[in-house]
Amino acid sequence: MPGNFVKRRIRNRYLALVAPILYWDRSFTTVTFLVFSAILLMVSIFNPPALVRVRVFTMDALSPVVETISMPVQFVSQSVRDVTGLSQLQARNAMLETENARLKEWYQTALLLEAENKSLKDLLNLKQEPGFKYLTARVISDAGNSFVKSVLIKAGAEDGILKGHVALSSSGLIGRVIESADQSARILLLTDINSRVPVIVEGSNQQAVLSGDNTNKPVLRYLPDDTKIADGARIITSGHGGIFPSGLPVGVTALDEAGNMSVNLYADFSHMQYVRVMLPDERQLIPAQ
Amino acid sequence: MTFDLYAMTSRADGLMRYVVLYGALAACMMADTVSFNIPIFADVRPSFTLMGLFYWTIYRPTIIPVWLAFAGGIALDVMSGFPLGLNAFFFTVVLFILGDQRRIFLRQSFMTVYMGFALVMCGYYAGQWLIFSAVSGMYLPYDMIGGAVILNLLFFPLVALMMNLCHKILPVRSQDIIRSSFRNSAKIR
Repeated sequence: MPGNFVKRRIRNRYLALVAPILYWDRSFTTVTFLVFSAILLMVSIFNPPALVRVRVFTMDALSPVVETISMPVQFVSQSVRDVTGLSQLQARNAMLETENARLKEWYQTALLLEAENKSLKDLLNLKQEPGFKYLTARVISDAGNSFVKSVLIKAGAEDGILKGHVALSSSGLIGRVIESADQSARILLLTDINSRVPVIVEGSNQQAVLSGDNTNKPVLRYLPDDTKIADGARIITSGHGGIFPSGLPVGVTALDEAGNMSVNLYADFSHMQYVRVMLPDERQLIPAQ
Repeated sequence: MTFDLYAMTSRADGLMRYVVLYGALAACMMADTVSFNIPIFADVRPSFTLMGLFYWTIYRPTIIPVWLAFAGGIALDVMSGFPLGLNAFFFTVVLFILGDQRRIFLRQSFMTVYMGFALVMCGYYAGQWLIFSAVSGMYLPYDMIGGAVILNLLFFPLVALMMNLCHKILPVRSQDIIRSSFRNSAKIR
């Protein structure tokens, strides 16, 4: 049919015209995005503050979505854990009862020591460190990847959480806030390779730096060679550097096969649903004259 | 004004197909970021987004344009705490490579696709390991990457099965085939 032949010729001519543009456009777009993401990556590695605003904006935009989705997921995982853990409940209950009885005795001792501590500080006219109040927030995102150890919490600058604030779990220190958006914040965990915390070994008062290495057991660095630290010694924050207040419980020492001193952390990152962020208590600050 | 039921159902059908396919991809992304509170996922986690991206790039290349892979990567970087652009870069690379090589995997056994995924995934983790090691100035531990690789290999058949179900229940529509063949013919010429 002559009509079809003409149509086919027109179509082929159109294809011949458009094809290079289409193909070039597709490759060009991909290469453009590739180059752009490479530049973005370079900037974000070598100059992270340059992209903080982008991160914070995206975090704020995405955190409600992640929070909404994480709620049923956490409910299901909690329910599964509850059901599978029924057999362990009885043993755990007995253990907790014993522990509770012991803690009641310690509580009385702590009250006595607190009163004694306060009277001694008053007597010495010791300058008091500012107090803290706590804000508990839910963990909404835990990437759990091999290279970055951090969690996202559902509380941010609007709740008073700012960069540098310290985060704790129910059992000990977990890290510090590194990014704070309006409604969410990111906490860098002690296990992350970028985490450094000045600590002291209780008993010997030996100072060291707790350095994350992306494993579950961060290591103690800058210990003098002749230092002898007992296995199982308690590690607390030293307060040096001004970011972490002194005396926060971190973990206990553990000597590995290679002779390196690592730390078994008190905080359990695998079951972390809520974290407590330490906020400066403004009521305890001396008002400006 | 006439009520065209066929056009409406056709439009709804098209919309639902996209919702399910993009929903599956979004579910993969969420699985990468949401906190599970499961000990095995506390330290290492498979990259579900990479699995979704790999599968759909091979079997439905039209649904993942390069800007979407880039945006998904950026979102994942922000939510996971990665340096901005890391996942965006790797996802764009995956799309770039698979966009041209996807025909190798078409009409092949699952084992071939599985091997292909293993190769891409190893490249993805090796690249990340190199970048993070270079930035931190030390060799990062291999064992966790090994764990992530094993988890990826274990979970890929499951994710591929689910994606395959979506793919079979909601096959490519004729309009998409026409569009795709037009692009392919344009590319060949």
